[in-house]
Amino acid sequence: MESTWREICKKRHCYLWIAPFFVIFAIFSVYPALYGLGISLTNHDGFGTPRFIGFENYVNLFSDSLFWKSLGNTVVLWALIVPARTLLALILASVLNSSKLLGRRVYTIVSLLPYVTAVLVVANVFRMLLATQGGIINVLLSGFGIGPVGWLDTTQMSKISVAVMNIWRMTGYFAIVLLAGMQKISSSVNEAAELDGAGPFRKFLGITIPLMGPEIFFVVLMSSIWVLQNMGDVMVLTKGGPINSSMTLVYYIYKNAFEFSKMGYASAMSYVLFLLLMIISIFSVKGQYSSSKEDKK
Amino acid sequence: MKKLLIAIMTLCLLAGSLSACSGNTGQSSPSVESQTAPSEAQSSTAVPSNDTQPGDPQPETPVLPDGPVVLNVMGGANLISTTEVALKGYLEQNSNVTINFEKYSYSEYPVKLRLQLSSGDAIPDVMLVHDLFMPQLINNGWLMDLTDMIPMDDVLPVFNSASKDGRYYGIPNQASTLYAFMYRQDVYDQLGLQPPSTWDEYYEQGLILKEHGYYAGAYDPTAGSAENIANTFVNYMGMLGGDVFDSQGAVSLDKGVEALTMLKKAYDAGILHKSVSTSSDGDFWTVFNEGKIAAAPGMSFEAARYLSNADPQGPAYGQMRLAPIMKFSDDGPDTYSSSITYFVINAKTANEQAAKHLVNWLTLSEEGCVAFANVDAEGIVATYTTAYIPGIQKVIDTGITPWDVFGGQQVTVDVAKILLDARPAVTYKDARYPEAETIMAEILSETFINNKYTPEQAIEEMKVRIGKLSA
Repeated sequence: MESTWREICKKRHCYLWIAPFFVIFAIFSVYPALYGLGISLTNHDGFGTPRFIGFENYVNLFSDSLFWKSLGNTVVLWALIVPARTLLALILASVLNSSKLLGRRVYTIVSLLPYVTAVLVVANVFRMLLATQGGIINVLLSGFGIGPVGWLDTTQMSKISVAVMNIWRMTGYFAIVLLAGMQKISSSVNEAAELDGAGPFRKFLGITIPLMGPEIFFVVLMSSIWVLQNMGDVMVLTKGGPINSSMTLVYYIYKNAFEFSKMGYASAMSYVLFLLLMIISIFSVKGQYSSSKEDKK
Repeated sequence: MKKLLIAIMTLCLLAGSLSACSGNTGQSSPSVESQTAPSEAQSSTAVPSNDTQPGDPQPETPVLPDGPVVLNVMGGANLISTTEVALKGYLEQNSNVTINFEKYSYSEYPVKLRLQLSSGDAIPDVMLVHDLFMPQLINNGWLMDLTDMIPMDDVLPVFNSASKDGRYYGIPNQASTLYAFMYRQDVYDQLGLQPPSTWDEYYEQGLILKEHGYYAGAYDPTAGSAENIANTFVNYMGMLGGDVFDSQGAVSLDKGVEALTMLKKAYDAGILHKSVSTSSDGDFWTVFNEGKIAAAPGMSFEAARYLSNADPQGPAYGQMRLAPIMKFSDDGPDTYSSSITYFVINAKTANEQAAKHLVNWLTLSEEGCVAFANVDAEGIVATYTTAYIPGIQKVIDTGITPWDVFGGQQVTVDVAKILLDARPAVTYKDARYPEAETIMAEILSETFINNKYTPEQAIEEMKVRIGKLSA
């Protein structure tokens, strides 16, 4: 301990250089987080004087059926979105990485367009596409004799519609991330595999994917976190309906905080979500580092 | 020396970072006003009487200060845009006044408003607020007492959510929000029908319209927004003389079973199109422009949506008419108002006299009432009267521009006549209403789609769950 402190004092000017980040982090991240924890122990409506109620908000969470429903919906959305999006991003990245593709840079830019388009715009377009009466998708399906599908107004299809929109919107971004990982793979590895008689599919499965472990891990982790924090898609596309079938946890937190004026209760839910994300992140990172250590051995 | 230089540079960097982090200046800490329970806040609420007592002081007439005045007016985008158009005459008459309009979406403006007021900010000076937000603003002491400005004899008694302990903290702006009956004259003439006078008559007409391929309204229990799902049910309840809360703020749902039974009867009979008539996009307008909506009971402010959504080439264009709503029961009101908006003044405003002068013009003047009734600008879907009785009468006497969609009918004038002839039952709302709406919407959806509840069970479930809400 003493030697550590001596070391710190000896190199104190170094700590001064990194101090600004930590000061800003403390002011804009740590302080609000701790303030939120304090608010979660009150009945604060966001405007008046909060009254301390202890863990009552957390206790109420367990009996709040809509909280569990929204958490379940979020998990289902995760299962629908993350694997499909990761797979599609991998496929798109490998297409963009192909030397035979003409105008590769143009396609790379175009694949990012859904990501940079505002969620509101994308959601409104999807609402027009998926409208039960007169929506373009149902009009096309009617040509094949398929009756109008309630994409947005049936409990069975609402989550699927949200997932489809989210996958369309974000796949391009993750494809670019994976493309960067693919491009760092040395061409000599692929050449050696070709000499050994490996076809494109075998090379993709046996070389590309294993060597892109860290990138795929990053995509899955970030994808998971963003899905678990998803609010914009649901808010505009389905407003959590019908019958709360597409209500996500973050949207439910938003409604409690800003529509129902229950800031304390919303803060409590936020902390539950924070713990959930922390557990997922810890286990994911631990798993990744364990497999990395095994690879090195 | 080198280390000293590095240390100085680091401190400068740190100071620069911290100064960039500074937030708003001059903001006081959040208000420490305590909230009162709804029963405490509203138990002494008096519905204003139109009778003044002898010797009562005359309402104060605000005087606009000389010299340049800058006022900030905040509220929901649509209504503030309407206000901006209506104020053109006022600004021409009072050239020393400059108004900054702050417009936010309906879902965003209450949050912005409460954040600014809770920080003790003097801005905005004047706000346009929906009834459900009023009790919270009043209880926190953020609004100026406007009682002395109001000539009670000349204003419709629609102050339910804007009063506390006999004092009034807001003056009605959009007051002509009545439940009305909109229908296609050509279809009704063709089928030999007249606007219904009772709900049973409306239901029978709905069956006749259905036989001929038309719909008699719209309701979608799967519509995403809780407001869209719950509104029709609450309107039915209001037309039967009931409400979600009573005037003291206690959970009521009186007439809820009858309302839900009637609505379900209409929905199950297929006379209602599965869409949302209050929405500006989507299925309802597609079907309307195809000519399949022959009748649509709804709030009178929805008539203005036809101006921008009706296809001039469509079969319904020019054929719409607005008539008084049918009676839902013998002991129910003649009409019902689900929403009133109020102009309020920030208790911390630095421009008290100017703000009062502006609010007086907007809400308690004939010119203001006529201006709101004559709003006609691209993209504006609101035109209405205030609650100032002489102003409403002036609108009736002078008339407004006829609406082509309604075959030349002066819709706002006819709504104003209904307003004076049949004073509407007015709903009570407070901060619990959005969550109550969400609860009602969920239970209604389960009732209509999954048949999970009978009407009696649905109302009981609503009472239990809404009863758990605290203000």
